[in-house]
Amino acid sequence: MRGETDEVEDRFHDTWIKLGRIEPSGPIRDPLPYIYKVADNVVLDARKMRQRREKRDEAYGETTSQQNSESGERSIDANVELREVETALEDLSERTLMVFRKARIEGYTQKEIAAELEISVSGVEKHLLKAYARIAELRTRQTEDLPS
Amino acid sequence: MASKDTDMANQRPSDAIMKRAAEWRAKLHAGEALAGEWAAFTDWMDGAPEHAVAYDIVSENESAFVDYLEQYPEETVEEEVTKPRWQPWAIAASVALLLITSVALLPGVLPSNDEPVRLATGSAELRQIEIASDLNVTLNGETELVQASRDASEFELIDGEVLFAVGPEYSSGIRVVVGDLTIVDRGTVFNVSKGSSEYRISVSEGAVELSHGEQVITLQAGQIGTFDVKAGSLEVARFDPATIGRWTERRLEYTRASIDQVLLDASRSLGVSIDKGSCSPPADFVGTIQLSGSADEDVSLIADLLGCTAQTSPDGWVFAS
Repeated sequence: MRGETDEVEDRFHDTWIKLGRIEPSGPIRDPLPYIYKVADNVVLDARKMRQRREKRDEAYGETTSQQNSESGERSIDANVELREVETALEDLSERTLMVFRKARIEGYTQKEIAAELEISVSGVEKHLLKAYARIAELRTRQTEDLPS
Repeated sequence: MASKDTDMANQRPSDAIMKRAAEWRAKLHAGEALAGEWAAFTDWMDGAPEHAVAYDIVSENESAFVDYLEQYPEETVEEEVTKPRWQPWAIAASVALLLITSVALLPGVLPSNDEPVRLATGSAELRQIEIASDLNVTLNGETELVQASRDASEFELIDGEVLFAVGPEYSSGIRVVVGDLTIVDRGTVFNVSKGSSEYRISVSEGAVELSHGEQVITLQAGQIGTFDVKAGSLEVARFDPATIGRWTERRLEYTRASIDQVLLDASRSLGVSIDKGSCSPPADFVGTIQLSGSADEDVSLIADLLGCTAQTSPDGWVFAS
């Protein structure tokens, strides 16, 4: 899908291991989408790691202090500036943000969110699409930041 | 390290591709995507190198966004804006709902905000929605379905194709309006496809009633009705009920179908327009086409099956004899 063949093999292996380690909070109703999702996350994690490593290697030569050691997966990706995220947050309405948080971070289903906010499921989707459209606009300068 | 994707990333994908990538990310990671949608997504990713670049950018942005929200929860972003406004709103909403409910109980008075809900899909997109307990619909690509009533008993198919699964719990049944045709169902599985010149209704379980003006015809399980829009006539034929909704797996099966139908189904599934052009294949098509999801491959496969050649056109594909 993405990357070279040997990388694909590595990611496949990572996915396999990760699937073995994760203890899902409940029974998995539909295993295939679940596996897809884990694999997609593994590819993204690997990509972020590689970028951090490349950035660090660069910084090493310039004797900059290590700005981004792997201090856990929760550290904010240095490629996206905090300010950019904050501006994006300000651009989104509180409702949209609430829907995004519930769907993406708290793991509620769209139906549950719709019931809680008393809107339709397609209303929930609209909020999510709004949030993601703004997210896609982040880091328009990203291409220059990438190591070459 | 000059890797291939760095070169590609130097050209930021077009806004349209970025938008599509954002839609995929939303569906896959904030929604409840089914296996079929993941398969459609991987096909899309394979469709062009920029697709993968766009998706990677969106994924990384999203992950930064999520990291931020997780590190700075509620109080910085949500609570200060939410607290003063959300609670009164919620109270107002509950009051309004109570009012609506009591007004609705009065005979002859309709709730004023009983607005229709529009369900739609983009090109080559499949969407499964649980409208109510025991009422599921699957939308094919480029489909628009309007839920006309809040109790989910009335729908209008504006365009495209929908597979309805109405379980026994949903005893009140549903009505689906397609152009000037009305379908009334009680506890069945049926498929409706709206084309420009004909509508197809196939039933795999139970039965549905079709009405057009004064005429009423019942379609039983295993029957497919093809409604000719211009002539206003309905032709009923048999089909294998096990094949219903196979388009959700990109499998097109026909016991007897017009070429227009085959091309319509394929273009819906692939998200590209396919014009018959000067190609004049035999009138009826019988057989199964398993689409791969790659438009190039699938279109040339269909062209071969019909004995035509396919060429790209500004709008998609056009066939020639």
